[in-house]
Amino acid sequence: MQPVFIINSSSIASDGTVAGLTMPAVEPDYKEIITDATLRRRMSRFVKMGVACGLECLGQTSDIDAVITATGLGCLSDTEKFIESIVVNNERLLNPTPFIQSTFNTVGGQLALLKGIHSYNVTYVHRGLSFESALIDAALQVADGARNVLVGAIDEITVASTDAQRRMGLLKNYPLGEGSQFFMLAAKADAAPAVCDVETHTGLINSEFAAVIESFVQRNNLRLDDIDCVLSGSSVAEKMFGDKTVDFKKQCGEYQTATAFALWKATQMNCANVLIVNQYQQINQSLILVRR
Amino acid sequence: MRIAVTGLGAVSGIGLNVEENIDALRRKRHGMEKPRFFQTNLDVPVSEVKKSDTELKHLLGVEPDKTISRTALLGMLAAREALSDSQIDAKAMRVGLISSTSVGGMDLSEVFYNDFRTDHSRGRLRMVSQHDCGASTEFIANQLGITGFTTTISTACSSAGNAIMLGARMLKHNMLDAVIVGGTDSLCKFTLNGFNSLMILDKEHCRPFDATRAGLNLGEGAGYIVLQSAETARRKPYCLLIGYANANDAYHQTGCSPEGNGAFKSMSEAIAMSGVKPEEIDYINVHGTGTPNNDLSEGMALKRIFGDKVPPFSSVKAFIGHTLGASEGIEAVYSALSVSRGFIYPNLNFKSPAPETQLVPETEFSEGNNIRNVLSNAFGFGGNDTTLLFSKFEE
Amino acid sequence: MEELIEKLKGELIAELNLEEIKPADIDAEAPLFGDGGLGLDSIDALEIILILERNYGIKIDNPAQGKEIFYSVKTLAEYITAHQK
Repeated sequence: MQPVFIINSSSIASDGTVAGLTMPAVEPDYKEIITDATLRRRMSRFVKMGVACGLECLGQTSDIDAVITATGLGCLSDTEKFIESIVVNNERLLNPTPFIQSTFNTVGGQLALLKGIHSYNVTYVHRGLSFESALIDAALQVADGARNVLVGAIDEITVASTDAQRRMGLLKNYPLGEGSQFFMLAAKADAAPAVCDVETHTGLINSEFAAVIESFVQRNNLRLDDIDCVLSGSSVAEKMFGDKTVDFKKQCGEYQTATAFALWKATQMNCANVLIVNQYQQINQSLILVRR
Repeated sequence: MRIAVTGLGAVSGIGLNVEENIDALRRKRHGMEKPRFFQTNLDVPVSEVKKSDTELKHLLGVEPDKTISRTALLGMLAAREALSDSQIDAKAMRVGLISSTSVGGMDLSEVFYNDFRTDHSRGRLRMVSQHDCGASTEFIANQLGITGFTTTISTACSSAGNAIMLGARMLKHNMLDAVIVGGTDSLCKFTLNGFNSLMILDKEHCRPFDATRAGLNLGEGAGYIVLQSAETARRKPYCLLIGYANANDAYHQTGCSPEGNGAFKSMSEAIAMSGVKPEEIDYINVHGTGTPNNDLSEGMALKRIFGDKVPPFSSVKAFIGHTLGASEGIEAVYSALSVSRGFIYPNLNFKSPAPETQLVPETEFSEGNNIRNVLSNAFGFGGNDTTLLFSKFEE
Repeated sequence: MEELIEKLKGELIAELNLEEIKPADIDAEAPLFGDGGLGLDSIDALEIILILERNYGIKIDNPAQGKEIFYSVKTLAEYITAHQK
């Protein structure tokens, strides 16, 4: 993969505070960021979080050739609201707004609308690999000549989702997290961190994942010792890298697009080689290499 | 690299495989009727796949009591057909799966929610564990033994077009040797009520591009194609994928701009990428949902590109309904066959053209036409517009 | 009529989630849609159709019909007065 440089980034995330089974994001005053009242008044928390974060990252950058978003579960609150209204109103006289806003590509679409961006606009919704898929697409866009590519992720906590995930046993290791991070990627930038490689897998057992990590590092002409910091959401990485690992999900909680938070952390660090190793619930495994 | 289409698979309200679909199109036999397999109070026609979940599981060799969303079942059926049709050896190559869906396992989530809503300790977890869109894709990958790159795209009604685009781009960058691309969606209360709340469902059989069109009919199904480099194909490709583009209308969350800006941009860019001239396009599979807004906007975009020489075009939505995340998967299959077998499909229920565009679609099935290039459109919420361009394969 | 106009203003603010707008800010004769008025759009028209049916028992089948009826709060009130059973 051709390296892509992160020329700007933004984040709305937890400050590490645990509230019961969740780690809610610390949210900004959305009115300050999303100034279009007509669009804002219909937005759920999920959409506001994503749109605000995306707008922060866009800043004054022009020539946006792609907007690529990722989410594990999409606009849950609007989805729940609409299902509830179907039951309560017995399929009659339903408000269309939650249905419209529940579409997975709402944040990407609203960013296009607010900024008049007519370019490529796609949304990935593949469990613990949603953000990684978006990054791969973004890197391909840059390789194909896109000037600036906005890529980001959003997921939200709701009461229903917390209760269902607790019952499924998904919150045993970490509280449920949420948040949004966006990144502006470009082919060239001085002194900016670069995403150099991304790899995704499904259903690996620990020994297979360990082998995958080794060959991933080698493929990038590095030795395991060359990795300065490992942002980890996987016990496999902790065993391999020991003291060099930082458990990023202790800071943001567990959710499908938590690796977007890890990538944002990586941009804040001053390390030559940062490896993000993640495992989403034994289902999905992913690797992201960030270099300076 | 020449991207070849080497496998096709489709399931819809008019057939459980590709040949059944073509046969119904040929005989003008549509799939619209009152919902049979899912419960709703809404009195609107839909194009359901005419098999129950249990029957679909039987066809797939899946245990009847295994909980699998209908979206995944439909996807498994169509993707299996496409893979087998391509004759590729999934073990000898890097084969990926890029699938799309707009509702994922919503059919099961709705059942779960009935128990869960008043008491969060109730409801069968197995039903909601497939709520997310990725679950259906992982079921399909497992069923087919695909271990390579797998992901899911959801951009409403253009989803499958975008999945096809990503597949082609990954092949060009040598990240995969072959890829199964397309989409799947099952009918559910959520989408049917959603479109009803937008007041864009026609209570009658939809009439794409007709002056009296009053909305769309929903459908369900799945469609996948297999893409690979023409050089590695083990069978004669149906056609080549030589152009694709996604553009954003950036006009309204659900509506299209009256002048069809997004559609104009996606079609123009796909044509430019392919290098063919507009007059070399011999058929267009339009998005043509039958809503006043879509067909007008798409029609305006067609006129902006082709002037008064708009090629033969038609919408198949009156046959299979609007299958949302599956629509461009199924319609890519139809488009590929249009190139390889010279098919032009009938646009049902058309009587008189819209006064604004005066565009008249094809209303009869014909075959053996010399179709050099086919343009295929899929437009969705969030202003998401995708166009694919399929072209004749020559050795 | 005045009473109905005030009631409608309250319903529009609540149902359309018009943040930071008070009933007094809405000119009953100003256009609801497009520039110059409240800047409502086609999705709001669908929500107004629901207000009419739920709160006043008036059914509008075709959103296009709403164009003149929904011109302003006043035209809306007049339509309700004329059609309420």
